Amino acid sequence: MLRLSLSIVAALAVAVPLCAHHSFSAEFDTNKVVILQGTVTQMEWVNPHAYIHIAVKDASGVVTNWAIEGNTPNSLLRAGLNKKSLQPGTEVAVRGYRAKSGDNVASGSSIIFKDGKKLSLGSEGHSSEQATVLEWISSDEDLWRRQILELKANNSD
Amino acid sequence: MTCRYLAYLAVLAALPLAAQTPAPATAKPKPAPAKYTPPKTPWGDPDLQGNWPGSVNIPLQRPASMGTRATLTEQEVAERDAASKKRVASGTWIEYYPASEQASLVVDPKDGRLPAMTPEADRRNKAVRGGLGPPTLSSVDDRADSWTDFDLWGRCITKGLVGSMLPGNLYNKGNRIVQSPGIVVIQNEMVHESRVVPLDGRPHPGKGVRMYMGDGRGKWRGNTLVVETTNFVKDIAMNGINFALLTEDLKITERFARIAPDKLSYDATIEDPGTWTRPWTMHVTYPLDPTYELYEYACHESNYGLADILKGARAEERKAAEGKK
Repeated sequence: MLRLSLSIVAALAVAVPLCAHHSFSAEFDTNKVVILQGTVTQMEWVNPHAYIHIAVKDASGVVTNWAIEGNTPNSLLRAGLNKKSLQPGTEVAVRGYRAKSGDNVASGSSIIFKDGKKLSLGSEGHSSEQATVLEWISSDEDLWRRQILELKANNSD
Repeated sequence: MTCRYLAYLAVLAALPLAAQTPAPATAKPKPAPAKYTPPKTPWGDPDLQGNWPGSVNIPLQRPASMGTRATLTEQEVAERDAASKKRVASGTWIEYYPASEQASLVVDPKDGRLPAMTPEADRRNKAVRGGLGPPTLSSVDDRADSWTDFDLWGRCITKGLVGSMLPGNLYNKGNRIVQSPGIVVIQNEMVHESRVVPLDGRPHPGKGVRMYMGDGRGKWRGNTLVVETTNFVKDIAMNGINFALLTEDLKITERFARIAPDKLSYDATIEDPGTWTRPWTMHVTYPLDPTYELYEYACHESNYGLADILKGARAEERKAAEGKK
């Protein structure tokens, strides 16, 4: 049984991205780290950046839809993600930075799956020496819950 | 930190001070390579075909303190590589490329630095956007009033020439050359450019015909393909160089030569008398990588980031206005 929740954690910007195709700092608030736990509704393999759409239910049962911006589809594909990786209904927890617009849009830095799989949506692990990004950590549900708690507590990847 | 110049300047800035001072011992000199004769296409041209990704980390310019030393020491290479890895680990949306011992892409002038801009170009550039200068990758950090505050890459139009050929793109580094009799096509994954270069000696079109990637004409000089490109759109900036607005007299001469089965030597000489006080030349050797796939990068398809940045700027303005009440 997966408890769906939303928490927004204001945090010090530890690893502020420098720049990419867009100015990251103009689009996202590096002081607003969001950790979203929800269900994938759609994966948009679009350029210049792919989007993962997830439905997040808060404690009162209200569902909000979030768009999580990831790397370019080409890089995601080279990092090991493919069209089977994020089927609708997949339960995930995402860490990212919220858009300055205040919309339910965030830049994703990492994603973990209920089965313990963890991968980067940004740059981490893209080096050729770390080609295996899809690392299976555990399929243990307790561990999954602990990982989410840890993610919230440490506010890090 | 802004991205006003080539992103790799950030890597340079991250080099320890010791690495930026002249070092007596450079990397071991290599023996001169034996003369290599490239294979020929069925119709007899030197065969340059293949995937030549720019998967190498060389900054555009080298620190002034290095002077004319064009090669890094082994320690400096290791430091550049470490800085690059650190940047990739702390950044986002970017990929890692191993460091090269080549000190800078700029090889002429000999100090590996762009020549000075002309006073007129300096004035022209400073006057843009009410004194903010031409749009750069990070110009929207200063002002995001309109799509015109975004550089051409941010608007998914182009990185221009030679911007599209620069190695170490943040991602989508692929380059591919395809040949047919009388035609060479040069493709860049970023941003899905395909330059169709005729080799039959036909002249450039009239001066009224202007293109972002210019109009290229090729010829063979021995085993080297020489492509001369003119007819660029006026007042656009070359991404990754210094975002100066270039003039209609811009001329770029590129030289492509296969110097080993798996190495493509590339030089580009950039002349724009209205922008720089003298021509300058960049050089890079691309590795052959048959396993590298060029994927489509239809960048404009869902460029939501542009709208998000403009909306974010408006939201911050509202917040600031409410704070004043």
